[in-house]
Amino acid sequence: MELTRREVLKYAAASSAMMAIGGPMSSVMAADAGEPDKWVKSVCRFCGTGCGVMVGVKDGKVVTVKGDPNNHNEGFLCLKGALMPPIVYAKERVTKPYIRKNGVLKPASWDEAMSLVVSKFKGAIKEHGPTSVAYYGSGQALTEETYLASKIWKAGLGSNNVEGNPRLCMASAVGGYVTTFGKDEPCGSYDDIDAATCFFIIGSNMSECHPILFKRVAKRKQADPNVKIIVADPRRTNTARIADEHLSFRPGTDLAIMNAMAYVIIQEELDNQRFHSKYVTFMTSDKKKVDFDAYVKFLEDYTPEKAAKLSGVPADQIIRCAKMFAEASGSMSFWCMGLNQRIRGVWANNLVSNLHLLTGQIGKTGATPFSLTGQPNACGGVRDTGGLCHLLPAGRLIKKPEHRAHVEKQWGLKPGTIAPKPGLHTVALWNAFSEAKVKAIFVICTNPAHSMPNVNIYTEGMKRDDNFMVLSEPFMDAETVKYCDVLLPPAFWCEKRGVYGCSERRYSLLDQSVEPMGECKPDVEILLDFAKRMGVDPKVIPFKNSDDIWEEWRIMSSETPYNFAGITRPRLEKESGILWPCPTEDHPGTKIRYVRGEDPNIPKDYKNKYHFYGKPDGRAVIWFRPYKGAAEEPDNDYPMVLNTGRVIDHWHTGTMTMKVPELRRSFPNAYVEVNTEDAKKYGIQNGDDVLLETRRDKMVFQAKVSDVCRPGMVFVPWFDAKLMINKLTLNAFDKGSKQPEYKICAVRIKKA
Amino acid sequence: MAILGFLIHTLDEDVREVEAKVKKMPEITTYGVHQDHFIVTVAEVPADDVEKIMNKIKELDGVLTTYTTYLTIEDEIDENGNLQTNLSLTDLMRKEPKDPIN
Repeated sequence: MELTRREVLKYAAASSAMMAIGGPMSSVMAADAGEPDKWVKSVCRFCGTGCGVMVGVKDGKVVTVKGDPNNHNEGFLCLKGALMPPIVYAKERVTKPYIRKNGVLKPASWDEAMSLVVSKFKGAIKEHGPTSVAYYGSGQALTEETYLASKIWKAGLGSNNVEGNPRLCMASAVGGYVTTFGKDEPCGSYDDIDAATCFFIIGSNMSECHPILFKRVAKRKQADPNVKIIVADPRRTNTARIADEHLSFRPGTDLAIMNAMAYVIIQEELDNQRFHSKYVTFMTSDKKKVDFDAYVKFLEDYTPEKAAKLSGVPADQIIRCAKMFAEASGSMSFWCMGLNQRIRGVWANNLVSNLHLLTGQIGKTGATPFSLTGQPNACGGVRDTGGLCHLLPAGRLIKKPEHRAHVEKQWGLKPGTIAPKPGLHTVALWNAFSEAKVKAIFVICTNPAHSMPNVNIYTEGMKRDDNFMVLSEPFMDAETVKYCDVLLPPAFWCEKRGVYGCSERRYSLLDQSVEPMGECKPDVEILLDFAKRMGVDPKVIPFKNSDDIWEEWRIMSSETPYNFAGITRPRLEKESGILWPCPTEDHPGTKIRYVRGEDPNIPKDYKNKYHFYGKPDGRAVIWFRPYKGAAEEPDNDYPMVLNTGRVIDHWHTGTMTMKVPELRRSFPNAYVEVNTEDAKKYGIQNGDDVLLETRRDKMVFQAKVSDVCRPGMVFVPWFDAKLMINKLTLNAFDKGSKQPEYKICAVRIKKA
Repeated sequence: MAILGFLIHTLDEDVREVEAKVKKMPEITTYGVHQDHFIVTVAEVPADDVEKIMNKIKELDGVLTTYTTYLTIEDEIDENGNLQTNLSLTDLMRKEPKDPIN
């Protein structure tokens, strides 16, 4: 069935209308594919929205996908989600193991490949100790895969070098939540969208990156003309086009704008004194507890006029937005990589929460800060299970002896088994691998040779002979395949069974729809085989399959505020996603955290309505976070700002979306978006070749001249392996979250 | 060019007549009548004409309202070769639906 892009869009449009009335199917296209033999419940493979899907299987093959009407997306899917089936059967699928010999990947048996992997890992540990080996995973791996890998490395091999690509996308959101509320993950849920009367969208192009949620916001606006939308973004994106107020600011100055909004809120006496006096601690950046008056004093540096000078946003617009936010009956904030991928990412996250805590716009339906997630299982899979170098499951920290002791007890380990020092975070890990200080790394379900910032230094490191990389990757054309020493063929998406946890704390089951292709195996099987061959104590890794792993993780959570003991496997099979905390099997899940009567972690007879139990005093924190510039500001040599991101039709490094003809045709190549004023200044016409040069590398892109970017900045999408913009980006990172600053670096441009 | 998916909500007795009229519009494709009063419809129109076509449909006898469920806007190139992305959907979004379905 060959469809043009136009036809696909029309089908998607028709399907969405059909679904709105509970139509017989989500995709009109399914009629052409023939009615499937069965429908299997699953979750979309792309962004962190976590849309439920039904996988249509005919004659043992995936033939179509439709939205799950019982999940939060109510049957709706974006175009990427609706077009997943061809990806499963792409000709580039890796279907057997390979070993690199004399620079070339040669087919091998599973036993040959795994024997080599294990000899390299054992050799590294013997010669250089356990910290010379590492795991680098993914927010796309199943929860069971990440939990298992983290346990193998931390409890079995004695290495805390467990990292993953969520460090590159969500670490600052984790840092923001933990410093503000004491616990990770959002307080609210998607249902808040239907009740909010003001949306503050900052650093997020929802319309392209989270289209199903954007549709829900747009629907809310359409249903109630009084609903207001504020979009803060240096680009006039599709998201900004439905805004009542679009704050187009100089990149990096959003911290000043949010402080100025807080200033206005207080000056206009729109703060909720009853709320913040009872439930909030005011704290300086050097962690001194102070009072409200000190906060007022701190904000004097952020009058709207001063913020206007810094940001380029008119003072009266900042005032209007502050009032809009504070006066609404329910304000909901969304943000994503625009705030997170910054050297002040944690601070920017804190400042969004500050606005909610100052106004009491939290803990009631329609009022909440809410971080959007880029990957389908960064939240449930990596953040919740502790799949990063400083974490243990359920938000516990390696550096805290009492946390290690508790996890050791839960895992049945001898006291002192878990090493007390956190491992290497992503940038440090790949630096160490590039210097062959980390000798052996196991990479699963991610493409670091494309996704790392300033990527040339890491690909050079991957070429060395004195380090070793084993890669489990479904697609032969993924950039990292060029550099791995062993390539393993994993089962892909619907070929295996496990759980994804999306942005709203919702855990949903992806059931296995079809058998894995060729010799492919689920990563759980690959990791279990690895652990056995490495001689990890079978009492530490007693699992036979992913169901066993979920069972252990579920029971383990019950002693923590993440408590999802009630989310059993049979329940997941039956229901389309459940939000934790969910302590018992008859509990419906939790839409609002930290509120008595809503959050099961708070006793029903608790004295106060709110309880931020992540903090010892039960109070959330309003942080004093000053405006500071980016790591690399424009200067005379590199006078513009380079910004990178996504386009609607492609996802991350394009290894999946470039397999779909309609998506590939719509955006075959990366391009550079240039403002019309800048184009005039540099003599650039639409379609011209333009040379972009940073202090790290240079590259030629075709120009798209428009008014989307504000003057002084250019934007390049990062999906294209042929035009890899990450050769130009910067690997400076946030001191707290260790997340790199992809969103801002200095660049110069000229017509090529 | 905008591609718009929407439902036309009609009086039950007028649904076939409305469908016939809408089918004659060159920019419209329909995907059947559902629940006796919904016409599943897709419009392909220049971005600036979205409201025009929606208003044209709403003015047909028997149409109670329309519900937009999908909207995508493809880039358009102006006479100077620059991308035109000036469509403001704000006004469109502000329009209150008539006779909302309960």
